[in-house]
Amino acid sequence: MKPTDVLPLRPWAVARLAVLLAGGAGALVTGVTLLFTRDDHGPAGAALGIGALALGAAFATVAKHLLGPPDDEEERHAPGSPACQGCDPETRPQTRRRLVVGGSAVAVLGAVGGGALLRGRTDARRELRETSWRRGDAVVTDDGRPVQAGDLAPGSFLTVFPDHAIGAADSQAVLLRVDTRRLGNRPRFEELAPDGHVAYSKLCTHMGCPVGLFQQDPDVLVCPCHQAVFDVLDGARPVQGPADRPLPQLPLVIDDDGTLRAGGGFTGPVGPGWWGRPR
Amino acid sequence: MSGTDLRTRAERKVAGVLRKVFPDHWSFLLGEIALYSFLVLVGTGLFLTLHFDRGPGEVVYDGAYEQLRGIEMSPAYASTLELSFEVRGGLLARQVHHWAALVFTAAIAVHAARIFFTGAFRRPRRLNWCVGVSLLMLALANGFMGLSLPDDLLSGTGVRIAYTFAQSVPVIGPDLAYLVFAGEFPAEEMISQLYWAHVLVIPVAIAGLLGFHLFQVFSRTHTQFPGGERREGNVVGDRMWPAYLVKTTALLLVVAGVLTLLGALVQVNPVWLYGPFDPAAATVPAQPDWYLQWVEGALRIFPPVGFEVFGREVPSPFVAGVAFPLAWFALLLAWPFLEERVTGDRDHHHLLDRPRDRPVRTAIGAAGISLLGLLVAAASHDTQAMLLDTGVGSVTWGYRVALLTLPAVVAAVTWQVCHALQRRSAP
Ligand code: FES
Repeated sequence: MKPTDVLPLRPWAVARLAVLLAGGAGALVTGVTLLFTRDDHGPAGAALGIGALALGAAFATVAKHLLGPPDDEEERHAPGSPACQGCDPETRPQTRRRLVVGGSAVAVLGAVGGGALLRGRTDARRELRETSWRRGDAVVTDDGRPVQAGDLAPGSFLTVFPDHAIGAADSQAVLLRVDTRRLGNRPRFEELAPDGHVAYSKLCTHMGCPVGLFQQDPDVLVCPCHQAVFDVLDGARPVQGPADRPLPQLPLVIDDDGTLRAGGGFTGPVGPGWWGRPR
Repeated sequence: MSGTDLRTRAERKVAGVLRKVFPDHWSFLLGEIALYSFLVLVGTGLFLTLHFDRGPGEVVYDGAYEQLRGIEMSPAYASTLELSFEVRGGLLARQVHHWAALVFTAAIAVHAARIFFTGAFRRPRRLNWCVGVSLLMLALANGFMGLSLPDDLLSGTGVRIAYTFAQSVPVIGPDLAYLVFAGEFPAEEMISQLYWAHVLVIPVAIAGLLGFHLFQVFSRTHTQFPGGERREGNVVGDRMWPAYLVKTTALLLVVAGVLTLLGALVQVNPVWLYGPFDPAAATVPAQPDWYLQWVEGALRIFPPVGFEVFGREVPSPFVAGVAFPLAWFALLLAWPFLEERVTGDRDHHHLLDRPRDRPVRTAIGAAGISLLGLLVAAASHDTQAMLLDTGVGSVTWGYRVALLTLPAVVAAVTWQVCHALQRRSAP
């Protein structure tokens, strides 16, 4: 160690150190007191932060004014430097071989373990494919109220569920009432959407956000997440934005007492795609 | 060997460690800032775990925050509200924890950039570069999981998106999503599973790798900039004791102080404003924390490119959300080896490069940073469209054009500047 490692004591540096230490300790004590006496966390946190900063400044003062400059020198004992013999695992073939063997062992174990974990799960693909909608389910709102035909004025919009699975994320659907005169000749639409009542899956086919915005003229559903736009009058075909698949449609029927019911499940798997999704 | 021998050997070892010299430069502090933010994260995190309730089930809120009273929510969200409004020092701990995560990731990123631009990743530090990149990946993953735990509307949307990424992976997608998120979204056990990953699995992995990272810095010695007495064969700087330890303690206290001040005075992630998660609702406009915005940006402006392999579907989120980020990390991991291939330089280097002296590397790095910067900006393209009073579509196209041109321009300009600086500093 060099003799200059500790500088001569300079009175002003010692004075500054004393002030910082005292101030820092004082701020910390104040902070703790405030924390336990006041409900507002702001002043307490500020005092604690200032206390830590002052103590940090105290240490910096010691480093800067009481210890020497960073000019100590030593020989480098590192791989590749003359002062180091044979201490570089990167160039020792033995170590390298060991690394390769160990690495592949870990990789194989990981693959086997990962595979076992993945296989032990329930049938993910079936659950992704299916929703709770069955033929004849009453269409209800999120508070369980069945929707009657005619409840909805043309141009309005509701989030609906099957009566036995209210709130089920994969079964949420948007129910819209569109003006049948504007449909033109779209026979398929007519058959799934009696009297202008049309329902689509609310899960965006892009990333699965709820498609929550309905606009008229042109009649489109817009996903708030990345602005995918779906044409309501044309089977929810994506007309703009990142989605590349229409929203699956829920066939609807109106029963004798005017209640809206599902005519079956969605016309396709809901939400974003996956490897092996049936078409 | 006798006991005294052992003791003297141990003493000699400790004395050797204390006498070890560390080079001194402001840019060497970046990694230490990351380290100390991690310590703050662990400290505040331990406190938060005492009060967080990971579920399962639903509760009806009747706590101190009036606007949400009587509303059904998950125990995770309810306990986060309790932490924010009723637990003494709870909001302070939450906010310091969040700020520490923002600083932790930022410090790692800037530290990595410093290593990159000065060539500190070359032999004998190639392995340690890879350890560092792995730490960056773990930090991002854990940040995301931490954001998800409060189970508010904003974070729930984020988890939905991450779920879709997992689901989009070819062959194993659905199984992977089920494994990570405990079932079909939103699964009953999801928060609980993310909780254990966030508080135990990933932090332990980070701590282990961090220890190894530091050990490598120690055993392979620290690099230094050329100049003065500094040569390949020596180390010039502060001895571990006293100067280095005093300085680094100062830094620890300053990091802790700044994070505490931020947590006390600057609000971050006010989850009570977002409301509880509801799969049938979404918030707009919404962005994740800064360190995830490059992925969000890619998602927004990459064209929808789903495709088919062997008649099986690879949905479009795979490219922007999985393949693209993984390609970035693969490139980072491979960089030291690629550069070695191209330059043929297999020597050990303990003296750092000045960025200007390696114009090609510096230009490539600058181009990469500009690309990431564009993607971060693109993460709020809907807000920008609103401000500019144009359609989201045209903003998207603007970003696409910029993405293809700006990095090349930045690279060319950087290359020129490097050469100009070289000429100026030539004697
Ligand atoms: S999730 Fe609907 S546009 Fe991306």
